[in-house]
Amino acid sequence: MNPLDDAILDAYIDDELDPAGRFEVESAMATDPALADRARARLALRDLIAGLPRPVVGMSLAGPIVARLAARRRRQIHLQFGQRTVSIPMRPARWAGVGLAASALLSWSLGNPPVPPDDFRDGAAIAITGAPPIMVAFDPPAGPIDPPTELVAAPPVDPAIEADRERDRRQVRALMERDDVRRILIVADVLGAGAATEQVDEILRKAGRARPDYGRITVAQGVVVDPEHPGAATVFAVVMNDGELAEFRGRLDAQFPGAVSSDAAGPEVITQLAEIGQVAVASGTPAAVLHRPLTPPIAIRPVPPPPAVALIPGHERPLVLGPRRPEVAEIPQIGPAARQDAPTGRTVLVWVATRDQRAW
Amino acid sequence: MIRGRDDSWLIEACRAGHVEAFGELVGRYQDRLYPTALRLTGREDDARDLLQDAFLKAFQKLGRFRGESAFYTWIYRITVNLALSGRRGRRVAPATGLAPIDPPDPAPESDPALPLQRAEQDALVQSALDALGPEHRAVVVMKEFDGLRYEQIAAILGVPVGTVRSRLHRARSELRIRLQSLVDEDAVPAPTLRHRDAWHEPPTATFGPSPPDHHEPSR
Repeated sequence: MNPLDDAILDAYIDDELDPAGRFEVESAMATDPALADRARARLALRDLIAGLPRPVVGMSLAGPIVARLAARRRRQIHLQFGQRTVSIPMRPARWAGVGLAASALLSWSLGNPPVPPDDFRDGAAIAITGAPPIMVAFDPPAGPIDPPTELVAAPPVDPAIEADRERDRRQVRALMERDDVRRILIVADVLGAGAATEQVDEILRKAGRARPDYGRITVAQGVVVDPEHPGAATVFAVVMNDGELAEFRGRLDAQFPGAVSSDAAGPEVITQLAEIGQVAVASGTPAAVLHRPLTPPIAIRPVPPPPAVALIPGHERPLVLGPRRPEVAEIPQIGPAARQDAPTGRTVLVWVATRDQRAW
Repeated sequence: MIRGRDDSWLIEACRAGHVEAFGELVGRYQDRLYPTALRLTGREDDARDLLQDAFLKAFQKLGRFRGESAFYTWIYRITVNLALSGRRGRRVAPATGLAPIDPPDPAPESDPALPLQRAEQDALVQSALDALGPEHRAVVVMKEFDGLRYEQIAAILGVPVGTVRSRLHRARSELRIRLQSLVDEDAVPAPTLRHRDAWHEPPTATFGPSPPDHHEPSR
């Protein structure tokens, strides 16, 4: 081996040679003392560096880092419009600037309507889109972060809150893991700041369904659950049968006219959503509950007038005179027994996004 | 409770806005990353700053973490690249030629002054590392101190393996000159090649795909 073979010798020291190469180097070292000396020097250098101390930090970095992240979230607001992002510290004197920026972006957005989405297809998703939205999110900003100035302990986790989250997570996961997840409904938050989310939530809450409860999953900005649908979102997991779904779509059509399209939802997306972590369970209106009007002329059954009551000396309780109200059992009701017979339906995801829909 | 949760659970919690879960990740990996950060920066306070910046950057980029590698691999990569960028990209100690550094006086093994001399030797080695250019220092630290393979170093730096080899060769040549008396070819024992584990850590700490998530008992 000649002096130009440093690369091979380095590779031997680094265990990057195949067995044949290693054998060749070791054979050469056995007959070439100078080569063996070069190998010794390399090993000595390696051991010097590898033997340097490996201390620990000596302090917790978690506290200051968590405190800085939490503080950033509290005091920074981001206005994002498509690819453009404006980050503004949340200081009172600058709120006027936030309003102006939002107004300017909204005006610009209304002049640039999105590409209409595909039509609805059975077995896929419905997307309701409109003008590109303004996204308002409280997220860590990009770019350099100032060095920490103080050490603050991480906020403790409330066990009760954590238990609630865990219970909700289990419930929502149960919804998501059903084998019959059929479609995703995607609604663009054209107004930003959660307007569409609240509207869809209201529709879901009021639309009577055989299984009224539903899950609500928050996807934070920057989390890409589905590359096809990036951005912050609120995803509702709802169980509907075909009739309920048709009625629900009709209500969405009325709320967001002419902006319904289709998309597919893969199992990977559903799995990730189920594990996203920030979930809550909401209750809606049961489909089988009837609100019986009690006042004529729209009462199902006329309500008799209040009975006369007489106080009789010697009796501890008032004496009721006249006809009695019908017993509760006599009033026809559609109760739990009837609801058990109702079809449970399939899980539908309602994806309310707060990001520019044009990229979809 | 977040203690005892696996990394993927904590990452999902972070993505959902629970920053306290990120604190658990920081506590889990800060001490494993610190030695590397210390060798890259040469100063304890700079190493702590580097780690804080690396974790903060990781939180910002958490949405891009796809779980194709272990979280430790990912944060290690961020740490190294952050050390190479910006103000940390400078030489820690200005290099003034390649004058050899005088070694501490030799002493018998039983000498009570041995720990002190070992500390002096370590300081000399670190000084020689600091005198390297940032890119050369990084490959040496990753290779000699952390025991990574060429391919792993190349993946972290985003350069070809050949570039890693050439940087490593030049860096070693420079270090051998600076630490000549410590690595004198006539003063060290015969080579006893022993190949170290990549990370001096359990298998779960190595580079590569994330291990499968553990099932959470609460689910």
